[in-house]
Amino acid sequence: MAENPQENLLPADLTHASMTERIAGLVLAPRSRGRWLLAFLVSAVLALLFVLCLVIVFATGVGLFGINIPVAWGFPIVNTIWWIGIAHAGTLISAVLLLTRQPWRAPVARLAEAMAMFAIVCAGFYAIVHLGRPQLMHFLLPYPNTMGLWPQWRSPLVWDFFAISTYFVFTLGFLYFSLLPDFATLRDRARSRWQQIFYGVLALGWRNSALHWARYEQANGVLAAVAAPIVVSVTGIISLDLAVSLVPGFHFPIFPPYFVAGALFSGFATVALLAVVTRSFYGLQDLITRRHLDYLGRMMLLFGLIVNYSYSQEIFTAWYSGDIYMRAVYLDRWTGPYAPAWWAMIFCNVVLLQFLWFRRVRRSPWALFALAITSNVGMWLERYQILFTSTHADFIPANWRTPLPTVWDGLLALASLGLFAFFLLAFVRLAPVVSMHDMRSAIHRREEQRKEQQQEQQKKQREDGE
Amino acid sequence: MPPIERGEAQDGAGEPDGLEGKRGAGYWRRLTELATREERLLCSDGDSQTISRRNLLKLLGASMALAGLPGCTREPREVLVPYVEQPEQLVPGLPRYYASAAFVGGYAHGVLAESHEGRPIKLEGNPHHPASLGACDAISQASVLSLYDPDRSASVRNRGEIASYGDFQRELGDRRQQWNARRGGGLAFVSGTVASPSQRARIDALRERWPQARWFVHEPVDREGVFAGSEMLFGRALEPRYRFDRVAVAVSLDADFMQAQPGFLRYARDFTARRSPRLGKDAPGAKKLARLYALESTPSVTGASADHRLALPYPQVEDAARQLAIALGIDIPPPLQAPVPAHWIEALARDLQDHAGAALVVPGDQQPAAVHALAQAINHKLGAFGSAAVEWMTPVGFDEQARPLADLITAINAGEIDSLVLFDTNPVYTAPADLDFVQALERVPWRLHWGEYLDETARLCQWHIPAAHPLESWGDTRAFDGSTAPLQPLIRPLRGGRSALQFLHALGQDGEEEARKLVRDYWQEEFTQRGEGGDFETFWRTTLRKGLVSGSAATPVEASPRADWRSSLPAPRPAANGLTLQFRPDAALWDGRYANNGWLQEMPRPLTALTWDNALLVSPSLAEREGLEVGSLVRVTSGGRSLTVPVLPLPGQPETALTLHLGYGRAAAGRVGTGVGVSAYRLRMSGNPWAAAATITPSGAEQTLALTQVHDSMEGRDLVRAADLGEYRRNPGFARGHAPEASLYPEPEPAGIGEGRHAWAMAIDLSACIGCNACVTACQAENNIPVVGAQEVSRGRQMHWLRVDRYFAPTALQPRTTFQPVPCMQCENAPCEYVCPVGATLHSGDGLNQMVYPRCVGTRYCSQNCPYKVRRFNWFDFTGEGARYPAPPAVHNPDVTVRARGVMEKCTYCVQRIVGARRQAEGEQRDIAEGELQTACQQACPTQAIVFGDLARPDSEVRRLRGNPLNYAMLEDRNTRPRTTYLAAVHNPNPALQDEDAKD
Repeated sequence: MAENPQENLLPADLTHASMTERIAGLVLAPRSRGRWLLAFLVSAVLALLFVLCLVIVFATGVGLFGINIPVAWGFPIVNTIWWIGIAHAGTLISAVLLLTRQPWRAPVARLAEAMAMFAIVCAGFYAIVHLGRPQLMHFLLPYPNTMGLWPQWRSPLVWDFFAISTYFVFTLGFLYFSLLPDFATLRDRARSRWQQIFYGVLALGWRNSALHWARYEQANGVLAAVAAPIVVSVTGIISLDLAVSLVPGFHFPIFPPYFVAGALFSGFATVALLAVVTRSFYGLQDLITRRHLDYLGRMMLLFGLIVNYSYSQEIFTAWYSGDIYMRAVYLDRWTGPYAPAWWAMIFCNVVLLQFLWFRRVRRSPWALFALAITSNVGMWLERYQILFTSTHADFIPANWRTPLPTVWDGLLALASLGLFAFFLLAFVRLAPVVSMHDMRSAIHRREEQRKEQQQEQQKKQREDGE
Repeated sequence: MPPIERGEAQDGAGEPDGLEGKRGAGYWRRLTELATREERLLCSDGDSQTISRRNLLKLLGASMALAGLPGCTREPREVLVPYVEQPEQLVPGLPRYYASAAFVGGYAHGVLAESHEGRPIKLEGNPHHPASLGACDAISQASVLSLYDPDRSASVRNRGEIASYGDFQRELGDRRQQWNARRGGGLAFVSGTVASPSQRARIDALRERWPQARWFVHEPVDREGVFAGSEMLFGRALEPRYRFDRVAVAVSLDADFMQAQPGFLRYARDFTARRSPRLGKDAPGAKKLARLYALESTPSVTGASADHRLALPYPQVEDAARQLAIALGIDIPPPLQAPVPAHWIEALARDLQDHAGAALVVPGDQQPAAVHALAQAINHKLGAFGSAAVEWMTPVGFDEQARPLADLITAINAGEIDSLVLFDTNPVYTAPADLDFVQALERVPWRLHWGEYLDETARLCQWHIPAAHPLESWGDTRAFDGSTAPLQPLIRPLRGGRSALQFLHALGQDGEEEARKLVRDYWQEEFTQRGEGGDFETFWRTTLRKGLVSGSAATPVEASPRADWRSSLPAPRPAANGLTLQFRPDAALWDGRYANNGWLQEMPRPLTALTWDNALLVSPSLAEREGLEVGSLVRVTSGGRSLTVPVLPLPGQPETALTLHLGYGRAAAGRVGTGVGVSAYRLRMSGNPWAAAATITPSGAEQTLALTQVHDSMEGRDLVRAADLGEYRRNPGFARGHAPEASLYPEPEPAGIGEGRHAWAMAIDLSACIGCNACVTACQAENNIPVVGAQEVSRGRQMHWLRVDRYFAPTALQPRTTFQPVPCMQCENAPCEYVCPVGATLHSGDGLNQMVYPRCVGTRYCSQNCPYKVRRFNWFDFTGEGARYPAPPAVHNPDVTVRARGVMEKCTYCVQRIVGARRQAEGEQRDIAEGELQTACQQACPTQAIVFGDLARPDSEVRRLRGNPLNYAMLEDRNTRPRTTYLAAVHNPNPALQDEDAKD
């Protein structure tokens, strides 16, 4: 079947006015208030729980987590890597797809960016809560001080600190930047005074002038170009935290690309998950179409397969190195106390992934939803097993231990999901969930194309008539 | 169990919580908040819950009298006043050392106490003392923590209420008149082993004055078998003293002479010196090593270091002794079964005969008299008496006139006792279960207890007098060889206790006497009687300075077996069916008296790695048969009594033997020790105190055991390298590994051994390490290492900077046990350093890998990247206000930082000592001399397994050991270039037995 992508990705009857009306209406005059409020309340309670957990951990000590010597990094680091991974697809979609002019990007880009933003916040909190003395976090900053002390540049954690903070600043800027024209639209359409002021302030005086747009396009291109290396570097650097060490299960050179692929895999899964939820929640099935889901599914499959390849390479390296410690770690992954996590990961990330080969699965919102969840679970398990199996039984058997998660690990993980949901729900309430200006340009492009076609047809007819 | 309820009932009687919320101004509330429980007991009349005007006035008066907290304790006032005139020789900040002594089982270990501004903080072995030679065991080390124990009794008590010493003396005066009138009739004393000569003299004086008074001895870990055995053999009670420096072949008959017999520090030192190729006579690379066989009923430190080990349940050790005696030609009736295989006995006998004169059989303290008699008869036969490998002396702490505790019960039940003095003993907790001691005790109308704690016994006595800690007392002591050492106080009694001599003095007459005068008077008289001439003052000062009375070791007495000793030997017993329950003193808590000591509770017990609990040790095969795992709860029944205990399968445990350690399940030990573990005394019988038939019933329940090591196998990795003597002779460099070849990277900068720079390094001799864990406690004391408690240990969060790894070789029945002390390796290429984001762990110019605590943010990356996992993290506040087991600030070493929550820490090679020595040397404008500087672990090690020194010095021992063919580095293929290296272990098995074993 020959398909016209533009035709399928946009509803035929969508015009600038109707699209703006609908999307701005979600913010300015929402209809489904009750369900949103319920979800918001639940997530707010969980966000409060997050704050409570933070306070308790800060007041008592990181000993509350299920970590010890030898497993000194546990849930906090697992969750940091997981959240950072989720954040990745946001940047990739908004920037890399923009650069490569992918036409299906527009309706899901805003979601992806927002998701990236809030996932980084969760990741950042975890990185801080993991510290024994979070109050001294600023020691990682190269600030001038009388002692002449600097961070230790050889440490991957310093790279990490800069990578995450750069990524945070970048994502915040990129998200806000793309929101500017939409805030202006909201300002212009707002009825109540406070909405006008609120969005007016946020819009920073955007007037839709041609000069504004020209600058916008320019800057957007630059930001997107900067984003591409950031996507690769952040997770790559986080993987170096592990790969640079000499711990048998960490010390793999394949880690940077492997982690980037894993991050994108889980990130696309999360975008798919949010897309499915949003389109059914706001009735945006015509804007976020099954074709969009199909594309997201394809991306999941692509990066999932890279992850699968990395698994095989890791196993091969462990065997081929001849290093008894690496081999022992691998055997332990398969048979040791954390083996259930490893096999569950294989089930989620390798076995279930293969369903995405089927077009019907990719186009089914609920199948994709389920696979998005299992993929995220699988990716979480992947980080869990890397962190735990590698260190719980490393070089000296006398040190071996099998720490198990505590109630605090579980509470904080649950609460961080709540925090993420809280931010996201607040965001969709206050900002347009689909980028209006991107949609407009998509509609514009379609109209242009139509016009061209019409002209061509007319020309043809004229030629035929002549 | 009665003692618990009784103990608690009395204690909980008067808890006046009724003050809050009642009438009265705010300061009442403040008093209740501030006042300790004792003070509240004092300032209200116990059971009255309401405040009447009368009570209010009473409280008002009391609170004025108390004037806040210090009311009840006598704080030494001097310390509050700064030095106006600085005492001569005292430099603030520099420690001073005083010789004194510490006790294990009543026998003294000479110590040097390190005192900072009048505050003792650490005990080290006294190099002049024969029982120590500079080494120190864990129990002695930890006694300094007990000194500051806030749970030590601080006041005289009369029927549970705080009373004054004057009250006590008045009542005692009345009593004394009665005793005088009846010449001591109705008066009885119970004490533990009393070895102190001056105390013995006082006791003799009391006996003379009150001849009708009776004296009973109750030492829970007694040495009954030793004395009864010598009576059997020689016709009189004598005490053996072994000379392991003269021994080439030794056989242990269930004797843990390296950890749990008087003189163990010395024995371990002497014997290891002959068993390590490094320490041997023609070291380096001694080609002849002494050999050790162990036939033992439960795995011990001694058995673990033996070349051949045979596990036999307790009753069969006697059969084995008979087998051996017969094989050596001693004419005795044969045993009814032969537990030791014939080829074993044959090889053993031949080996002993080949080394006659240098061969020794050591019977275990817990074994019955027959085993002692047989073992010593064998020694006599082998010429060990002639060669003085074993010497005999009049017993150190044995009191011929004293009767056992069972006789006291009889006397009480016959109504013959109306006054009972309990002298530093806790029989309510330690008495055999069948004696019903509590019931008997309560029949005595007047009971007096003198001891350091308000323990189970003290709570059942009308009068309790707090005892001074040995570090607060003047006195004298005797060691395993009879040597006498003075006991010097390092500090005024912190909690107002009376020393033993003061208490004994007070029993005899009115008025108080200075503790120092009492012991000095005794020695003045003794000195005059000796008639060696000279000046007493010189003698006294020398003695105190040296920590030893010169030439006081007991002179050996001639001993030879009686002609008819065989006839007194009991008839061989038939084999016991079923399981045998064996009791053992605990390596840390001994008989339970150290239960309130956090360092000891948390010291990993040798072999089991268990802390904070006792477990029933069972053999792995029995555990498998009964379906028991580590921590499974079982019900042990013995002699009609039963107890629920967790199980710990231990390789090397005889299949039919169960072992339970004494010292746990205290009902009134204090806030650290109360309720830890279960009390083995509840199954112990007076007839057979060390072993009894028992049955077990699995209960199906589980309990988490706080183990510091949960994986027992080395997984075939070459962490501990060892070989037999034969292989060592063929290939002395068998342990040499492959360090990575030349690297493209430059040399790690500060690690290189530069000109004029020190390069600190350590070598640990695995042939010498016996796994006793004395180094662990030494390190804990030196470096302010916190106590974290059972829960944290079970989660893998113990804080010991130095750990002793223990591995069992694969065969579970006759395992080879190996130990490996692991401090920080101080790697030259330290993996921890490059990963720290803030540079909190750095390399020093002299090769130390240092921690900068104030800089640490707690990422724990260093620990993740440490292949040896020697770093420790402060998961919670383990030292401050919020700590579960806060160390008294006074015991902290002022030279070592106390670490905050969230900070990583690790072994520093005792950097404070290095800096101290450097400062000293710089002040004197010289180099630090070889041997001047010792780490705490090295200093405590009984076997000198740890060598520390400067690699940059051509003449240093550690540099010499680098060249030793046995030297290797752990995980050297990781290119960490550790500064701590190991000397591979060399075992010396009997080739005859090895071939036989190979055939099996």
